[in-house]
Amino acid sequence: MKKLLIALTIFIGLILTSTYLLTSSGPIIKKSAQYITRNYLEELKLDWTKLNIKVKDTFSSKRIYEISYNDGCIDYPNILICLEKFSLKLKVNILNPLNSRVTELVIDSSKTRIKSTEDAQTSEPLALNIKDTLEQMHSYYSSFKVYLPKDIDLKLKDIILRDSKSNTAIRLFLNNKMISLAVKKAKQKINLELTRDLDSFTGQMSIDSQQFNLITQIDLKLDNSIQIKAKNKFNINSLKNKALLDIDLTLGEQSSSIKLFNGTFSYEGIGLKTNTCSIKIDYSSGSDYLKFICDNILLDVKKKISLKTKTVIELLNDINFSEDQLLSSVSLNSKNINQEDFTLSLDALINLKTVDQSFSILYDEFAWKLKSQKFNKLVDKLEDTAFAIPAPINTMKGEILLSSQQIFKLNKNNMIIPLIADISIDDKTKNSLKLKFNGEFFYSNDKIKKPKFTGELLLDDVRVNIPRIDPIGGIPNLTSSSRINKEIKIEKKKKKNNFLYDLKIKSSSDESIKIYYYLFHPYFSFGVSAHATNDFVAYKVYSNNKMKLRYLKREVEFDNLLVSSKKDDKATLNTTFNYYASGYRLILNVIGTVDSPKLILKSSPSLPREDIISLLIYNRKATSISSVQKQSVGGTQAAIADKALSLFSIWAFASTPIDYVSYNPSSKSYSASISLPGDTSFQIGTDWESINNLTLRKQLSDTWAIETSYNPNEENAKQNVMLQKEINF
Amino acid sequence: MPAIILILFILPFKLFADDKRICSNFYFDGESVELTDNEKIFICGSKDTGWKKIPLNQAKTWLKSFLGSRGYFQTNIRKEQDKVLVSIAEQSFIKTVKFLNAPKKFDDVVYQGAVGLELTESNLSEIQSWTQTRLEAMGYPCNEVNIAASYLTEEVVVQITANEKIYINNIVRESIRDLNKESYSRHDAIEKGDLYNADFLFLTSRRIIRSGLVSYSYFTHSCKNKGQINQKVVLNKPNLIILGVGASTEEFPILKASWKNSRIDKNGSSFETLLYLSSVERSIEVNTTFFLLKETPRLYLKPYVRYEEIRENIYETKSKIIGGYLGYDFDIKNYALSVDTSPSFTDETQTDGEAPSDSEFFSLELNLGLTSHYYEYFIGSPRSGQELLFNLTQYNGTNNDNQNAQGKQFTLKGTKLINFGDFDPPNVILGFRFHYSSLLTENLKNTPQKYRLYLGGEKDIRGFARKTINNNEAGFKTTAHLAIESRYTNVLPYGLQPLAFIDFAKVGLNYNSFENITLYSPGVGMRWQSPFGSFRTTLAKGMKSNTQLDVKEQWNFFFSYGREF
Repeated sequence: MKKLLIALTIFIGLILTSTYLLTSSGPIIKKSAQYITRNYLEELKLDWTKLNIKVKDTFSSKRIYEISYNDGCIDYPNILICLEKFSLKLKVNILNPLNSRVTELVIDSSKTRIKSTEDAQTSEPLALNIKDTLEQMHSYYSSFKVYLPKDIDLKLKDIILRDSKSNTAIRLFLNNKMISLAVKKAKQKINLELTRDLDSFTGQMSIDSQQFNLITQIDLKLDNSIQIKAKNKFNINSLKNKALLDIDLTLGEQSSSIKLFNGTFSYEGIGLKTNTCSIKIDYSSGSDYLKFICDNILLDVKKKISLKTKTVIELLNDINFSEDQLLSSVSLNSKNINQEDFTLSLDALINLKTVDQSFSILYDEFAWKLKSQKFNKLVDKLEDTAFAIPAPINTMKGEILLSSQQIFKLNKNNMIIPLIADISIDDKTKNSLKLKFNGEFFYSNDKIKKPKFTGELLLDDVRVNIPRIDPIGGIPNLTSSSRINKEIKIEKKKKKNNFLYDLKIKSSSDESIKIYYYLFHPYFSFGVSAHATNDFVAYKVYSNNKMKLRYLKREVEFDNLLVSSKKDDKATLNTTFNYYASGYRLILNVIGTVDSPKLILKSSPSLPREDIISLLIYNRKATSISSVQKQSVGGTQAAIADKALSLFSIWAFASTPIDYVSYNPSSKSYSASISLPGDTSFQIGTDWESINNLTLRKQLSDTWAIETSYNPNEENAKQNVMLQKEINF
Repeated sequence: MPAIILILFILPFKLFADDKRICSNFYFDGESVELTDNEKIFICGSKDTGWKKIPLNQAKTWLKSFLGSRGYFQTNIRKEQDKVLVSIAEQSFIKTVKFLNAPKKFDDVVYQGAVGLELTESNLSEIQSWTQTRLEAMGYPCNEVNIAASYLTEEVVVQITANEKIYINNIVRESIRDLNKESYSRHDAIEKGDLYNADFLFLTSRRIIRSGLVSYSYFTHSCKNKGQINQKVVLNKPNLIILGVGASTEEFPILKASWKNSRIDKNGSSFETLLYLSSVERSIEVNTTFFLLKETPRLYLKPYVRYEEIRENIYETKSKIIGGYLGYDFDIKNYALSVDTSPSFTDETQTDGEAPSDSEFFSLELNLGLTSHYYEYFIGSPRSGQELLFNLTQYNGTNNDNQNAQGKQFTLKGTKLINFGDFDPPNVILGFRFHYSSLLTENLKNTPQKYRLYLGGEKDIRGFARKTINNNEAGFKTTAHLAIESRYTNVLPYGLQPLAFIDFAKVGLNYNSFENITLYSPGVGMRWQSPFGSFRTTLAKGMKSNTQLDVKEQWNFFFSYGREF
C-alpha cells in the first residue's frame, strides 16, 4: 500500500513538475510547439527563430505568457501572413484555465495575402437562423467578454484577400480607443469608424458601390446586453430611390429586440413611411417567424393616394447565405397587412447578390396577394382622385383579388413576374364584372430582350347596362377625336415597339357578356375571344342570342353575330337580323369589313331584292308602292351597294320606319327621313342638303313633289318650278 | 308689391344662373354651350341602374369630349366648393386646309367648304368626303384619304393617296325583263375608254331617272375589279300622271297635267300627253317618242300633235300643230350633243296683234345643241359650264289674205358660266348669256306670229317688261342680246346671294342688221337657294342709247322661282 502511495505521489509529482516545467518555461513551450508543428502541422511554416515566448510569475499557479513574433511571416496553404509586430499577453491560471484572459494584443501587419483556391467547390448555402444567431451572438459575447484584452492594439494594413476574380483589400486598426475598418473590393468600398468609450462604441459605417450607397450612424453598447442603434441612409442608384431607416437592436439573455424607426422609402413617386416597427425575439419560443408589428405604415402614391395602416409583417426566421457571389438571401413572409379596405399578403425570398462587382436585388421567390373584399369602399376612397372607378363599375360591390402566387423565375439577367387577378363584383342586377386574369411580365437586363407582357383574360360574367338614351337625340361622342390634336398627327408607319405584349381574351360562353339597353329585349349577349400582340389583333365576337330590338313600334329579331379579325386583316363582320313584314321573313345579313359593311338581303319565301327593301322600308312589296317610294327603294339599294351605310344606319334602316331615302352615289351622301310619333320626322345619314344641291326635285310627301323643269333642247325652255301631285300605276 | 320687386330683381339672376347650369352641380363659368339631354346623362348620371353617380374624373373626360365635338378643345374644369365650373376657351375654327400628295390638277379647284366652320369631327368628315368626291371626279375612285387637324394652329392637313387613274373598260348593266339594256344606255354621259368620273355617272343616273324610264339608277365600282362599272336600276311602273301647280311673275298661275307611259316597248319608247294652263299659255300636246333601233338607242322619232293658245300683252294666237322630230343625241368627251330635224304643219289663228289673223304653213327645223356635262350637272345650282344652241327654220305657207308666208329664221344662243377662281363652293359666279336671231322674209306683215322676234323680259333684257320691245307689236327681223351677270355666293348669310348684272340688246328691222340703237339695263338682284329650289328677284332699269326706238325707259322687277340665269 505504501509502495502504491509512493508511486502515485511520484507520478503526480512528475506530472506537476512536467506541467510546471511545460508552463513555466518559454523555450520548452516553444520546443513543444515546434515538435507538434513538425509532426502534425507540416504545412505550417514559420520562422521559429523569431518566435519568443516568455513566462512570468512561474512560482504560482498564475502565469503571464508574452508571445511575440516580429518581422516574420506565417505561411499556410493559401494564406500568407507577414507581421511587422505581433505580441500577445495572456494571463492564465493553470489551476483554472477557463478564467484565462488576454491582457494585451498588439498586431502590426503590412503584408498579408490570403489566397482562395481557384477551383474551390461551391458549398451548400449556409442556413442562418436569426433567433439562434442572436442568441449565440449574445452567448458568445457573455462567455468571452472576459477574454477581451484590456489593452489591444491591432494594426492590419495592406491585407489582400485574393479570390478567383478579384482582390479585396482590408485595413484594420483596433485599439482601446477606436476601431477603424476599411474594406475595398473593385468598385465597392466599406468603411467603419468607431470610437470606444469603455464598453460603448459610436461612429459611422458607410458602404459605397456603383449600385447603392449606405451610410449608417452606429451606437453600440456592450453591456450585459448588446445594444446597437443605427441610423441608415440607403440609396439604390439604379432605382433612383432613397430610404431612411433607424434600427435599434438589443441582444438580451432571454430575448432580443429589434426596433425600426422613421423608415421612409420613395421610388418613382411612390412613398412608404413607417413610424415604428418592432420585434421582440424570445429565444424560448419555437416560432418559425419573426413578427414585426408596425404601428403605422403610410403608403403614398404620387401624393394622390394615401393608405395608412397598422401592419404586421412576419419575417421568416431562417436566412440563407450561399457562397456563390451571394451576399444574403432573405425570406420575407407577411400575412394580412390589413387596411380598412383590403388585405395584402407577401411571401418572398429576396436575394441580395453581387454580380461583377455590382449589387443587385433579385427575387427568387416573390408571391403577393392583394385582396379587396369591400370594393365599394375602394370606390369611395378613390372617388375624387385621378384613379376614380368609372360608372357603372362604381356601383358594384364584391371582391378583387390580385396576386402573384408563383415564383419570379430567375436567371442571370431575366426575370418573370407572374400576375393573377380575380375580380368578382356586381350590383346584383344589370352590371357585373366577373373575370380572371392569368399572366406574366418578362423583364430582362439584356437590352436586346424587350420587356414582354403576356396573359390570358377569362370573362365569366360581364354585364353592362347602357343608360336610357334615345338614338334620335344623337349618340353622344364619348371618345375624343383622334384626328384633332394639339399638333397635327398624320398616321405614320409603325414605330418600333419598346414593349411587347401578347394578350388573349376569352369568354366562358357565348352568353358571357350581356348588354342591357331599353331597346334590347331582354338583352344582347355575346362571347368573345381575342388575341392581341404588337403585330396584330385577332379577335372573334360571336353571338347566337335571339334578342329582339324594339324601336318606334318596329321589332327586329337579332339572329347571330360573328365579328372577326385575323392577323393583318381588317375586321370582318357577319351578322343577321330578321324582320317580319306582310307574312315574309326578311333576312338582313351584314357581312364584309366593319369599316365598310355590306348588306345582303334575303327573304323567306324568296323575293326579289327590290321587294325586300320595299317591305323593309314600307312594309309593302314594290308592286304596291308609289313612284317616289320606289326612288327611296332605289336610293337604299344604291347606298347598300356602295357600302355607304354605316353600321348605325343599317340598324336604323332595319329598325325604324323610313319615310324616304335620298342618296347621291357621287359624294356617297345619303339621307333618310324617319317617321316619329306626332307627325315629326328625323333625318339620319349625312347632311345631304348641305352637301348636294344637284337635285332638281324635292319630294314633299309620298306623291307630292316640287320639281324644276329643264329641257335644254326645248325652244323657249321654261324653267319654272311646279308643285306636283304624281300618281304612278 | 315687395313680391313683385323681389321677382323683378331675382328672376333675371335666376334665369342667368339656370342658363349657366349644365346639369346637377355642373355650371359653365363664362361662355356656355348647349348640350343634348343624352350628353347630360353621361355627365350627371340618370336613374338607370349603374348610372346614378358619374365620378367627377369620368364626367370631366366625357364633357371634354362633348365640347371637343363642338370645336372647344381647351376646356378647364375645376371644382369649387360644391360646384364644378367649366370654362371653355375660344372655339377652334378651320383656318386652312392643306392637301398633301394631291394629284396634278387637283388644285384646279380651290376647296373652301368647311373653311371658317368649327373644327369638329363632322366637318373633317365633310372635308374628307369632298376630297374623295373630287378624286373620284378626276379618275381616282380607289383613293385613300387621311385627315388630321391641330386645334392650336386651326390647320387641317389632308393626306391623299390617289392610287392609279382608272379608265372605264367595261359597263355591265343589270338585265331587266321589260327593257333592253340599250334603252338605258342612251343616257350615258360616259363610255368605254373614258376616264372614271363619278360626277358623270351621277349625271347619267339623273338623266335616266328624269326620263321616267326607271325610278332609280346608280353605278357601282369595285377596286378589286378596276375599270368595270356596274349599272343597277330600279324599274318604275310605266304610267305616271302628274298634276302640278306653279307660278312666276310672268305666268300666274300655272297648272300642269301630264300622263306618260314611259315603256310602251322594250326600247323604252314613250307616249305622253301634256296639258299646260297659265295666264300666258294654254296648251295640250300628245306625243310619242319612238326609239326605233335597238342597236342605235339614241336615235328617235317623235311625232306630236299640239294645240296651244298664247295670250301675250301684244298678241293672242291659237295654233294647231302636227309634226315630228327625228333626232340623235350623243355624248363626246365632256359634252352632250344633240341634233334633230323637225317637219311640222301649223294652223295659226291670230285674235289680237299685228300678225295675219289666220296662217297655215309647213316648217322644217334643224336644231343643234352642245351642252357641257358640268353645265348639266350643276343645273340645279348653276356655277360652271356652257351651252350652245342653234336653230334653223324654214317655213312656207299662206295666210287668210292668200298672201304667201315664207321665210327662214336662224337663232344662235348660248350661256357661259364661270366659277371665278374655281372655288368650291364658289365665291363669285360670272355668267354670260347671248342670243342672236334673224328672220329672212320679204314681208314681215305676212309672217306668222311664231317667227316674229321680240325682246324684253326675264330671259333676255331684264330692265324691260316681257316683250315690250316689239316694234309697235309687229316684231323685229333681227334681235340680239348679251347679258353679263356676277353672283356673289358667300357674302351674305342664310344662303342669300346678291347679284349685279347688265343686259345689252340690239334690234333690227332688216335681216341680219341692227338699228342704230342700243338698249341696256343695269340691275341688281338676289338669289336664295332654298331647300325647295331657288328664288330669284331682279330689279333693273331699262334704258336706251337714243330716242330712236319707241320704247319707254322703265324700272322692272322680276320674281322667279326655279329659273336660273
